[in-house]
Amino acid sequence: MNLENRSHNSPLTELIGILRQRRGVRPIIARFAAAGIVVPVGAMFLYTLGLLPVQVLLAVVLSGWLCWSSGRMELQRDSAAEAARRSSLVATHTLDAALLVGAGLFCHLVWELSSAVMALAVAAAMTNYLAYYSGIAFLKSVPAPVRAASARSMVELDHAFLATGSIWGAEREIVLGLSALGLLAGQPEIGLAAAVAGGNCYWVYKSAHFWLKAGLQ
Amino acid sequence: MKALVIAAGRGSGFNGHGPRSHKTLNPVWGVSVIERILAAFPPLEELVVVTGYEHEQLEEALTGMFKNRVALRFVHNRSWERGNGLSVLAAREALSGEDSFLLSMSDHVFDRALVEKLTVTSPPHQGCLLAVDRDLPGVFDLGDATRVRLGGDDTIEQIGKGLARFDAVDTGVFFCTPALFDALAEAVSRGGESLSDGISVLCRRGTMSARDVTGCLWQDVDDMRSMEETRRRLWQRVAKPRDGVVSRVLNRKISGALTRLIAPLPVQPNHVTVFNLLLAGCAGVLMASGHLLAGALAAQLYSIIDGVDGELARLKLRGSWFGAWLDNLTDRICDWMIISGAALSVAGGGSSAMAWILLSLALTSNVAYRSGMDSLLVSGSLRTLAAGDGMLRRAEKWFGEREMVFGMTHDVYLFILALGVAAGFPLATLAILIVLETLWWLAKTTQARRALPSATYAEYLQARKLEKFNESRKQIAQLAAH
Repeated sequence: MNLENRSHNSPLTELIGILRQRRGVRPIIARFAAAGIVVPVGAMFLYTLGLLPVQVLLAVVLSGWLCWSSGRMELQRDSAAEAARRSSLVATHTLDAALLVGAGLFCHLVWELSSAVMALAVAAAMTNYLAYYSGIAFLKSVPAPVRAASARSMVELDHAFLATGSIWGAEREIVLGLSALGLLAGQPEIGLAAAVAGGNCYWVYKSAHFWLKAGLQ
Repeated sequence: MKALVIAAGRGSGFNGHGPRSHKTLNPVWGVSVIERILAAFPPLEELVVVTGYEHEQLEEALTGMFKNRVALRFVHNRSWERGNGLSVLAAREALSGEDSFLLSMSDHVFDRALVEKLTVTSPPHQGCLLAVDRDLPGVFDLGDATRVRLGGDDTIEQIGKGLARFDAVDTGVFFCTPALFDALAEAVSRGGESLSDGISVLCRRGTMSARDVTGCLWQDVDDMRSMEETRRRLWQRVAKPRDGVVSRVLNRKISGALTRLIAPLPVQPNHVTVFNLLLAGCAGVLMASGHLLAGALAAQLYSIIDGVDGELARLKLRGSWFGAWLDNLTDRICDWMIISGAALSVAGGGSSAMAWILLSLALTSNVAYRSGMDSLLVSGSLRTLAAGDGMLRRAEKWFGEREMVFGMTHDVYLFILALGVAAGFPLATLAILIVLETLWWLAKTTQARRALPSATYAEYLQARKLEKFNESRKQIAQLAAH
């Protein structure tokens, strides 16, 4: 009876609307997917010839991974089965965390920067992970009556969320992109700090905007 | 829809021992009876409350309580000391124009499931529907209950406290049409002033039906004994069905006692969530600074208190979408703080590089493990699909049967970590957890990909459209046949 109430379903509709608004950006990133493979391979070749510093190689690998994985997620949106897309997304975010923490480890242990860089890398990985997990948490926390009443919206939301990985869309690009820029500029601490600050500010702003608008806090 | 609540009586059962002057304002686990009634109702157009005894104080209290939550309308019954049928009759004008409305006593606590069962169909034409409980041995204080004798087709033959032969008892919640007012007027003209007298008129007309709500929560709260029983019954509904083994054996016992202790206080579930975040931070700092036992105890305490916010939310009806989301997110932050503390404690032995490598591996495997567990296995849409469409029924069966048997739930993970750290083996414990998490993730991902069907989103949509098409085709065929 009350299951079909609009106030129950509106946050789902609201979120789907927000996710739809930024769908236009995705194909542009998808076009860089090929570059995500070609450029790191080229960079590795240059590195073996001694023409490229190692931190630049790391930056290229990070940004190449970002482009390739984003493109892959976009391509999988309508072609892959639910289970395959879901497990591939988990693997993508696990590798995100491994790459960010790995970059910190490299800077601390090999490049001999202070342990602060490692702490910043962990914070950047956590920022990226929480941005991703906030989507899962949203799906998990949908009240049972809403879930039962709006199966169609739930699937659409899950689909839209799974196609992008992070619920608001740009946290991953901000965190991985700024970390790569920091490495490229030879200032990994600044890059990672900017990634943590930028990723969190964007996430907090978007989340607050959503929850206040949805009126469900 | 509108609802009518009869709150005119004095509540003599408490004999002045109740916490508040009106029994409907008495708090049960920190939430007043009338707030619980409102929470059980569907979203209402208006809540009509009939007042009588000390009506000004009650109206003032309810106005403050329900401000911005529901439109309130008070009807004052000057003859409140007489039968409760007169109180219902007093609300006739306030409910004029309504096809149907809900009616409840102000001293009954019931859950939403009861109202949902009751209102699944409309009340009988020119009649009423009463929610009844057929589980007679389970009824508290059966001697005081209003008894119901049922006839064929769930019609009510007779109702009253003095019935010797009866099939069910009245739960105090009705789904009515305005015919109730005519029946009450007829009863009053014959000298009967109670609601049961009016219902008896409908019974004689054959328009009074019963809806079996056995199994749903309901309890009359009219004295201190029934108040205790209500608290007990509400507490029984708080338990989470999918708890891990550590939660069942240890955590819930302590968290339950804590929840019952703080429930009457003005503490909100989100306060507990934030407190727990600080506690996990302390656990991490204590471990990292070499205080392994204290850190481990704080980590286990965090795991215990992690259950309190949910229990408190369910008990005090303070559950919210945002609160559940925040709780899920803070759990992940807390996990990382505790894992970081445990990994960095290894650096105390002089192996800084090892600590950082361990931390990297532990965090990465935790991302895979938790994301895999929550995204791959317990995500909402898969369960919805499984339940609603049958497309993923096999997957749902798989989750239900195997998740708790083989899955390393949050409470188990934290318990192993705390135990290992307390014993002075953070390195070995984290190494074991990393291996277990990675193996678990690989195994579950492989199994899930086999168990889940290969339906894409487009195929799902197509199936839904076909389903709708087939439904409308059937409807057209049925119409044509008639």
